[in-house]
Amino acid sequence: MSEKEKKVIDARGLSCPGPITNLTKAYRNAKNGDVLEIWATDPGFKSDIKAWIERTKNELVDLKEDKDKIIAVIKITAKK
Amino acid sequence: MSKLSIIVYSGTDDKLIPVGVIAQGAAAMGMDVQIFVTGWALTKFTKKPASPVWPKEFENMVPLLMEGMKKNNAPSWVDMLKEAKSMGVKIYACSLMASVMGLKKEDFNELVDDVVGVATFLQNSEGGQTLFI
Repeated sequence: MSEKEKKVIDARGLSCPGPITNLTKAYRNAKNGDVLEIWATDPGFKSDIKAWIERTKNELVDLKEDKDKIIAVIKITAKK
Repeated sequence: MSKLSIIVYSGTDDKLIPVGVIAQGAAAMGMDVQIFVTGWALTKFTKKPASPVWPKEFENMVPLLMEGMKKNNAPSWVDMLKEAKSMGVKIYACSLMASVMGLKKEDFNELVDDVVGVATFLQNSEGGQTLFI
């Protein structure tokens, strides 16, 4: 995967379902192989991102929490 | 694609908040979402919508709710429905209740896609999940 395809979606400060909505909007323009990194502060995001991955069948590369945000790294693999 | 249908009956704003959240969230999850507005809720989807209404038993908690929504940066339920519609969610008004209340298609605001009968709703909802709010 080329680093230039990595896109950061900053959804910090958005309440549910804002982060998942912004991810879905970015997903529409993404291609297979793209990597999306989402930053969120909504406490539901950690479980919601897993549900989104389960539904859309893309790949969750990393999910971690630092001091002030949840970071999810997703690889797009399920675009038709 | 999985489907979600929401029957929105209640006309109180506390119940319209989850309608917005669930509709927008379901659309973001890639679900095919339709909303069927009927009963008292119709008064909230007209060009001159009814002022906010709250259930009596929770009225004293409304300031706390509104303050919390603001603090959490949560959009209004109308804005959540607009966002949901930008992702393909359809909103229909119930033709019977619209007639009962003397409302015509042109009386509804831009959230409403069409005025339809219950058969259309049932046909669209078949095989999916349905919520009554």
